[in-house]
Amino acid sequence: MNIRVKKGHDLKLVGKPTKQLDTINFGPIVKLHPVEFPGIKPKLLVKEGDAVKKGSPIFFDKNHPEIMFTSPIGGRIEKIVFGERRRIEIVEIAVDDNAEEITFESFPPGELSALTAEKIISILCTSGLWPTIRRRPFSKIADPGKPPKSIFISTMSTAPFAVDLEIILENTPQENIQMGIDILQLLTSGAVHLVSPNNIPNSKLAELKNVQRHTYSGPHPAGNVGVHVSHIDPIKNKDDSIWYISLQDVISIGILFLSGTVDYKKYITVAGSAVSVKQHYSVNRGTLISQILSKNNLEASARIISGDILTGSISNRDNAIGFYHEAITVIPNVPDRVFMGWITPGFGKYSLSNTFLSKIFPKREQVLNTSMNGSKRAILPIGAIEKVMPLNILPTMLVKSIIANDIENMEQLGIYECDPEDFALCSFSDASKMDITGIIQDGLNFAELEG
Amino acid sequence: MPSWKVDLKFLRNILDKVEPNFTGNGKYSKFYPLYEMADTFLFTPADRTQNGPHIRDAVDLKRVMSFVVIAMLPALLFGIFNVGYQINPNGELKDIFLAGLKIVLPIILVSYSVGGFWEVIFAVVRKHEINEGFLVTGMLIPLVMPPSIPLWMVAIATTFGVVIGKEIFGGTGYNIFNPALVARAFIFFAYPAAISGDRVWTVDGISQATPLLQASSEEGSKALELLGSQFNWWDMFYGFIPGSIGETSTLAILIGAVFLLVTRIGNWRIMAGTLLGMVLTAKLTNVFGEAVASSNSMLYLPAEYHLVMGGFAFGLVFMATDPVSAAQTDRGRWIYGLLIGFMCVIIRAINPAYPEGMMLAILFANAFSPLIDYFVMKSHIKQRLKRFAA
Repeated sequence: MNIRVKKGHDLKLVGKPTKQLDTINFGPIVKLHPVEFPGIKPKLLVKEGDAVKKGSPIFFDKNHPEIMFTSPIGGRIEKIVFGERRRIEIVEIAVDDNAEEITFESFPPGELSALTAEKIISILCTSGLWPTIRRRPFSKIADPGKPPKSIFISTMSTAPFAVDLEIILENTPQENIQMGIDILQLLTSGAVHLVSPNNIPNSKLAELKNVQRHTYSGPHPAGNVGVHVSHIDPIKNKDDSIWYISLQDVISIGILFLSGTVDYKKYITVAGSAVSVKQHYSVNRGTLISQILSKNNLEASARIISGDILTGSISNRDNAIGFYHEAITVIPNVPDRVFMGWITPGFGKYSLSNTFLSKIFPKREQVLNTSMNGSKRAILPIGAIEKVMPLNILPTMLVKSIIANDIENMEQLGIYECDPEDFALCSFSDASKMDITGIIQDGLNFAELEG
Repeated sequence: MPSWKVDLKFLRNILDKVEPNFTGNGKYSKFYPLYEMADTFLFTPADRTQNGPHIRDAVDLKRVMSFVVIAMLPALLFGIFNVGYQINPNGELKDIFLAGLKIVLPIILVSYSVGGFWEVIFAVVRKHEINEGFLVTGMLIPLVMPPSIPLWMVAIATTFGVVIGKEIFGGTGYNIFNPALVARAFIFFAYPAAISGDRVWTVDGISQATPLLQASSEEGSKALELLGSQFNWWDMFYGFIPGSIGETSTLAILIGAVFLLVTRIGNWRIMAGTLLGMVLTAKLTNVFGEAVASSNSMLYLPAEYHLVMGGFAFGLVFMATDPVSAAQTDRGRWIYGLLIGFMCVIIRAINPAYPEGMMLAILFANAFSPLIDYFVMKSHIKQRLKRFAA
């Protein structure tokens, strides 16, 4: 089926990446950031000075001791940084190119009869690829013990500067994708859904078996997995669950089972108006942003975002690219204090409202910086956020029920179908400058505890 | 122009220099809302995004609210002209305008200064920012007042509207009723002689009845006959009639409506719903009046006359669309609008003591909007459950 999204918006921003693809190798240091996995309690398996192989477990989740987080490269544990209350913030590994690699059992394509769900889960968990599979509701790492009603593979984001699906497909043998899908299919009694943009009619996707194919069209957030799930197999309540995974991680799983080695590669984009070279790169998990941006000039005081401009997190050169992130976005971080900006005609201003003359040239790409462009105010429902909410959700009502901690209303209004990323454009367009994505996250946290 | 730039830098420097006095342990930290107001009035705020989304739309509440005020300017300008015109229709344009200005300007000044005073008091006591919502309320209040209103009444009404209508609920965004309408309702109930009755238009010794009063003045006749030649439709559409300052010219109000719709600040569903509700109900009362040969003149008033008479157009464009006191769901906005249109005609027709129904209709719908939203929400929840069952 084609999921046709009408309510939404494609941001037209300066800084698109070209189709140029280069490879970036590990630098001398790689880092793991246990804090980026919501809901886990990390427990270290190594100490400073330990030698590790590529694929060695570094830490695990105390709530699910079988889920390992592994080193993307061999070397030595250089430093472990703790935060408040001994929260593990950074594990730093000095790279040794000659170090050994941990390998796993390999399976020829099409001969998976010997594989059970249990075995697959055990291989995925020890290899460190399990965390690539996440669950809705709550967007946390999937619980291996609770099979989902279906699995969703998202192929291309509709957020600005997303990795081009065609680049992934051109550089990936068909059998890797197919193997990954076959493995996922063994994890659920339901369907595996693969959702791709309808304007990329790639034959590699058409030839895939063992998977239900869907397409989407329309503006962002048409590519969000939450939108796909709500059309294809909606989340009904708290205990309902679907799993979701990015196509690139499906490919890694395919490679793991075909070759027995863990593949930590992924394609990313480097983009944004404040970075000089904007293009695609092939990098490994754990690679530092300084390494990725080493041949690139940044504007002074630019903000480095790991992930896309709508949902990524503030980062810096010393951090590794986020585990789930497929982009490094760099934008100017100097809000210009415009004189009487509230009444200027606004030719150079970007707005979904019709209160700026820039609307006369709606296709023009613009440079946006990190300015809030206004002060925070009480909720003023002029209908702007409804225009960018394609889910079957009443956003104003849901936000109000969350602020009121009204769990019953929250559930009835569909909090479990929601993820903050689906509300990114609501936050963007709200004239009261409310942190709507944050409120949705609060609502989910509250519902997970109290619901 | 370099001098222009220097001036701005100079301003910015002053603001940055005095800022420490208003923050933290500064001498005047209590009055931070005042500093914030001046600072963000002069320059867009320095706040940056703290998390995703890392970029934000250029629109903010200052812009939204000031655009509503801009939308009211045609009605205001015409209102100033018309006040002068009603006093002396044959004067020179400049004199007419000055005469109008002499009456209207003090009302606006009183409304903004009294309202602003309360706004600042509450912001300082409650330690929140001064909300731009008052820019709109402060302009709405003068526009719905008859020009003959004594200034002290404007002051009391503004106080009542801002304090009771808004601040006791928690300020802009939390109020149930439109504060400007609360102000007007206050005068209507506390000093009825000043805002209704046949002496409403006593300005500089000249007293006139408004078209609505005229149309409902005699039992057993039809409204159009009572209007007679004194008020023809086009006069009322253009606005050369006695009435509240900003309400008389449907044309000027429509210009504002177009502005609000194009900028998408005014909700089209509310406007369309209100208009539709009024037209349908007016048709209904026309048919009903004829059928029972009613002696109630207002039952015979055609829809297009309802549109140009009294506060209907003004209420539709500027009052009903107040996003806070209106229904807040898309379907709810239709129902809310329909209810206003319906109630306005019904009150005008049924209530002989007070032919102007728009104010009460909107206040009535304000009171019902949470209920409307509640039912829209319930039906949405039902529809969600149905989807899951399928």
